[in-house]
Amino acid sequence: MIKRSTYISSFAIVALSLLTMFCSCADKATVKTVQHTAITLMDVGDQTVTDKGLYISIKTGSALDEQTVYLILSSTYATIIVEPEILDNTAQFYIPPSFTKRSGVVNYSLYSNGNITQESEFSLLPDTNHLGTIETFLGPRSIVANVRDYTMLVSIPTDTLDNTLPDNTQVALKSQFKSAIKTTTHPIASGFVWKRISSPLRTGRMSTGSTLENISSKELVADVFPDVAQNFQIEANSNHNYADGNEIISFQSTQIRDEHGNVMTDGTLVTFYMTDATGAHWQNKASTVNGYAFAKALHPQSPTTWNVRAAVTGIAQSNTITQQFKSIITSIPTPTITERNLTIGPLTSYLGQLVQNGIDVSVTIGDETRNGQTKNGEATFYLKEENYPAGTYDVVVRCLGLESNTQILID
Amino acid sequence: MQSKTNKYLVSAVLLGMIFHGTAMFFTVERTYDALIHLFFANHYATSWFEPWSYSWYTGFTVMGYPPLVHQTIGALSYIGGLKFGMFTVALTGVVLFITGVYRFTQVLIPNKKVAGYAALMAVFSSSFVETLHIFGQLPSIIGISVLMHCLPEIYLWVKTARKRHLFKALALLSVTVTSHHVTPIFGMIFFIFPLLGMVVMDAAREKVNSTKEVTVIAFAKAVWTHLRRIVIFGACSLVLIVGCIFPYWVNTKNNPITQVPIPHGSRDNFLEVLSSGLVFFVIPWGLLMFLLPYFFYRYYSKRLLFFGISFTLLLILGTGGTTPVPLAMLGENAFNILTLDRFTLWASIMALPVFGEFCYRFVEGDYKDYLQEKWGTLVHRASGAFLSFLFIFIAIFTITLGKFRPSQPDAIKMTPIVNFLNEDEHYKWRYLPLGFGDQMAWLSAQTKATTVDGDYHSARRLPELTTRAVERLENSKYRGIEGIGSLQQFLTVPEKYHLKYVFSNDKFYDPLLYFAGWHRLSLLENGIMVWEKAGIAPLPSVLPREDAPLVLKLMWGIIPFTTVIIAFLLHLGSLWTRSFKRKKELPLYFAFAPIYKRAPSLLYRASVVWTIILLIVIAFGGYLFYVKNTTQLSANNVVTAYYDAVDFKEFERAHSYLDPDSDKKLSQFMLEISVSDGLLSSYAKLDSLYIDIIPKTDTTALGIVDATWITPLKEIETHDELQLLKKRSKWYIVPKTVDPDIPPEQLLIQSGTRYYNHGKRAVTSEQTFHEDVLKQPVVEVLSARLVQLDTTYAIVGEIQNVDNIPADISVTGAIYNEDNEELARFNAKDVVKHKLLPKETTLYRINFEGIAWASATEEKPTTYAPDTFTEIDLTDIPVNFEVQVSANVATTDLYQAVDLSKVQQEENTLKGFLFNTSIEEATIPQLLIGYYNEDKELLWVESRYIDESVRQQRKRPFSEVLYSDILPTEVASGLETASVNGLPNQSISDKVVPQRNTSGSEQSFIPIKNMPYAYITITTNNYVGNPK
Repeated sequence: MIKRSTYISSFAIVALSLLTMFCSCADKATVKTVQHTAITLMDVGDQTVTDKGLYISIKTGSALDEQTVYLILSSTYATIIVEPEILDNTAQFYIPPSFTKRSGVVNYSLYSNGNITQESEFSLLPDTNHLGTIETFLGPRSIVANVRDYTMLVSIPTDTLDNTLPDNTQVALKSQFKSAIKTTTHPIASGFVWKRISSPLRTGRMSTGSTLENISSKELVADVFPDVAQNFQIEANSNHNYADGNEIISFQSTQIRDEHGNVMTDGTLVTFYMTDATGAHWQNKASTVNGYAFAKALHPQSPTTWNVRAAVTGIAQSNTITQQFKSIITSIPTPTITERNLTIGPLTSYLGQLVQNGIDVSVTIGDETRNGQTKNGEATFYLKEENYPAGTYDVVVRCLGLESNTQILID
Repeated sequence: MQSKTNKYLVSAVLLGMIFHGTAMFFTVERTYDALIHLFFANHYATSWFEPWSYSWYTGFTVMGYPPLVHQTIGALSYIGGLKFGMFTVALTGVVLFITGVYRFTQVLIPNKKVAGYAALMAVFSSSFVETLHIFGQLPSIIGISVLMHCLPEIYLWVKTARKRHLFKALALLSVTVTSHHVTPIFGMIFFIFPLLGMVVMDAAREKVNSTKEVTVIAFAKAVWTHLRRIVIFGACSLVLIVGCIFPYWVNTKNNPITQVPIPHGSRDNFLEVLSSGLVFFVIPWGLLMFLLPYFFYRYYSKRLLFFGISFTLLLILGTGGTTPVPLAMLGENAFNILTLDRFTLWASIMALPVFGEFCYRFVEGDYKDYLQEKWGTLVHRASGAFLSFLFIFIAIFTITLGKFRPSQPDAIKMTPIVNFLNEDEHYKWRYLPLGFGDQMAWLSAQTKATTVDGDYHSARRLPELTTRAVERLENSKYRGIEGIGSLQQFLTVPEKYHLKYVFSNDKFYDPLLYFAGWHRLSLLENGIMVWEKAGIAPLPSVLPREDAPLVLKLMWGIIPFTTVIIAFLLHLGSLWTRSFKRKKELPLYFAFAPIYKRAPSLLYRASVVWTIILLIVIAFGGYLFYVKNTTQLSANNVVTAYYDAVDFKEFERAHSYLDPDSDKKLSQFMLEISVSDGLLSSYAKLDSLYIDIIPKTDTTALGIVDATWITPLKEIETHDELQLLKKRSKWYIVPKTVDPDIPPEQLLIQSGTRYYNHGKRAVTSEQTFHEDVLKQPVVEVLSARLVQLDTTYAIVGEIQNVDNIPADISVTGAIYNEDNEELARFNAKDVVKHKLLPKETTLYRINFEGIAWASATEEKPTTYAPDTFTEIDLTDIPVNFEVQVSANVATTDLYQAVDLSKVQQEENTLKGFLFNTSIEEATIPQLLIGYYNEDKELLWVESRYIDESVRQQRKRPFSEVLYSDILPTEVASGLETASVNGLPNQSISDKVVPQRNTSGSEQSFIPIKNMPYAYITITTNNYVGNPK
């Protein structure tokens, strides 16, 4: 918008200067006498901004030499040169609307024959009778429910010509959170007002706005998110506690809240750490839903005890719980060998059922260790003739946390 | 004498228009170059006088390629669009070529029938077919065709000294110059010089009574008398070559080609790289190979002696790297810049007149009588039929080569991409197409959006591109480390190039994009995946450019068309007389028509011997091809074929190599394939294969296979032992058993949090409203250390997203010397988790990469290593550093799909398995491993990719060797210089988590024994290839 108006104004200036030039050229013929009497301008008091332009009349010195008399005006917006024109038989300086639309101090210098004959200034004041809009800005747009955080509302009321209003104009800044609506009035300083809105201690959404007389701002909102988490508790939940390597155990946190009881935002990451006596490490991540975190883990394949603790890194943690897993078998069946196929099994589980497919079985024959997995309760290893000539071998079988030593005879 | 219409020429032109005119609609768009010319044409169509194009390489000048053909297509595009222009120009090229060969032949062998035959042969010349339908080199074709039209005029000027001919010749030469710069320069040497020699020879012959009397002295005398004309012509043509494309030469001088040469198949040793040999030697020569003895016999006759020399040179130069001669002749620089296939093209074109003559003599001339007498009529006719069948077959084979061995990806519908770029001002950022082939030029021609890549490599400007032998980023996977290395730098620091969108037509690049911090935006309806990088600033509205002087711009825009108009006006008269036969006299050179005597029997014998040699070579080649490619002939072949089939995902073929008596049915095999995914199964390209066959019995063997696979992230080496057996004289592979693991649950139920960001809530093309701009998530740098490892520096540390919304982070590190002068700046590439859930923590490492091989003398690695990086050349010793994190709201790729299970140290390896509890398959799991000292201070961070995917509720064992090299030493550490979203890190720390405690830290540390470090932590990350 600004760009556009600049464009239009510059166009207007160019057009007006051309017009002025044209007029002055036309007037040239009418000016017959050239007198070099010093001219002075009428006193220009403070003016209100206008989009109609301003005329400054000449107090003394009626005859003009257009080529040598001109007025230089300078404001924060621009510096322009204005040449006099004849209106109702009096010479006047016309300041174009593009210039008078902007409030601020205007310095002007009257030049005659290249010399400054008069210098002064006047102010263009905002048009407080015709209010335009209130621009508001709010940031940050999300804050945390604690005593440290706040958001800031900035409000800039303007008149219809987009000038900021004079200092000390009272603007009402309003905010709503839950059932509470707060309104405070603030005087404009340097064109705007601002207010820090400290964070409520509950999560939710805060709406803000500002008004001045009959004009209103947009609604801007800030989300209030929970503060950092407080410590919490966890518990384990599983269908059974057998170390069968084929069951999901889930760990559940209590509802994780902040200091003020606000539930964590959905998606907050909680990490569950498990360790056992052998130093093995588990690490499961869960993001909260309504403050609860659920982590799932696979049962181990060998009996063990887990120490479980969950944490929101660097912020909060849970108690430590222990989870025991019992063995599903008491002993490994003796391996059998048929046609160079070494079979371990059938391995049965806690109900006497076959163990699930995919249980790791490792067999050490001599120096070589081979890993296999169960299928239909059995793990089979093919012993190639070139690797295992006929003879007797010591076999160590490891599975489900157990170990057995036997001897096998290969024909 | 009332001359008759040459019916051979008329049929040749008609045949050519039908043959090429029909075929080109199916071929030209799929060629290497045609779409590039189309892009240039589009440039001229939109801004005729402005040579600067912003579309490619962050801006380049089109003055690097002669403009005539492009401008013509551009001008024609106003009538019927760009492609209409292209096809029109191509068809014009066909007609010009056929008539050009006709006119050229007339000069060389002044016999209208011979010329007619040559024109007919030109239609099916395999080198011409290849140049037009496979390479799409339109300017080159136009250039050489016009040059051939120019030759008779040059002859007549030197012979008669009539200025009319000089002007006509020069006019045509300038058309050649403005359509292709290389053609007139080399055309001067290989076509015009021998022609001048021939004119002088003719002149010398006129002075004496028989050819035998033309001695060196007589020749020298003739040279003397014609010297003035030759010099005038030479000087004028030099002026034209420089003057007509003067802006081109100025540009060449201002932007000399200093880039690293790009490998081109035509420079290969054709015996080593058989595919190059086929494309750049066998196909262009085709049937002509058999007639080489005849060509030499004819060209080394006295009149054509100079053409003989030229023909020999071209033939040798066209052999590329097969013989050392071309390199020695051209010098290293020219050898590496020029593509040598053009020499073969010219040689085969030069062979056409003599080939036409042979055909004439074979069909109706003296050879017919000779051979019929020797072989009998039947054999003569049969061999004629066979030869013509073979000739046309080779042409058809060549024209369809692109269909059977596609050099380009399938045609991509560009409209959805163009729409995407126009939508919501996406063209304000740069984009990068991946896997588009030369179709990227067609995309560029349709959009005003710009890309960092480009398809005219002589114009590359970014040092990241010019220092490498990378033709395009788009096909970087074919260029090994140099390609992927270049691409990685663009993807890691995209803000430098305002690169926000990647259009991926090749899922090979997807993992790289993901781990470099990009995310998928949408799948367009044409199957192209759009990737986006958050937090990239749009292009400034004013882009830098190199302005050319107005004079050059005007010359560039006006001269090319002017040359055509002048040439046309000058030739209007002769066109009229030639077409409507007002004039009866024949051109001067018809005085030198050859008289055909009985062919020397030596030639006959030489030809027979040569034919036999060629046939033996072909048969031997065919035999080798059979032995190497018959998939089940040997144990080695079946293993190679199996890996080849797996590499190209031809699973039915792979299954056919498995033991048919095993219980592995195709459906079972396909099922097993369908459940295997991951870096190795889905994103790897077979690089090398070492097969060691250990025979056991006659029918069984053990195949030990060491394969190297290239993936966008790392190189994977696999070791396999395959049981092989022979059944019914065919070798088979014994299939392997499948993992029997059964997941615990059948139906998985998961609840979770998902995110969506509207972007703009109001339907408006205006700037996003203040209230629609999301706050940048607040993240906190937990630690940062500048460490030194030998001569390289890196920043390592940890970052936590302390906000309540997910963050997409980009971590930039900078290092400074003692005077606080910046030495280097780079982003964390893949050793960081870019998408963080609220309160999630990640390790990071920033390496400082330089522009790879910036100095030409630096030795380039010969092997491919995707994870290699080029260390930056630091000017001073870094003592201080800075870490800047910028975060944006992330809404996708926040899956936590893999968890660590039972991780244990076993000596120097870390063993355990990954378990997937989620409902998404973790296609490529990544482990970020942090190494800590006794005081739990972070020393080093590493990234490890797991080769295979982890399916839902399945476990994937892993075994990673722990870091065992010397640990880096600390140079500086601390968080004083860390900043997040432009704010000091400390202020965030004080405000958001002021009472940070050790929660979780004790549990996350895994103690490590007998290593130079005491603890490790692991952060898991995973790429989900197909999100549900």
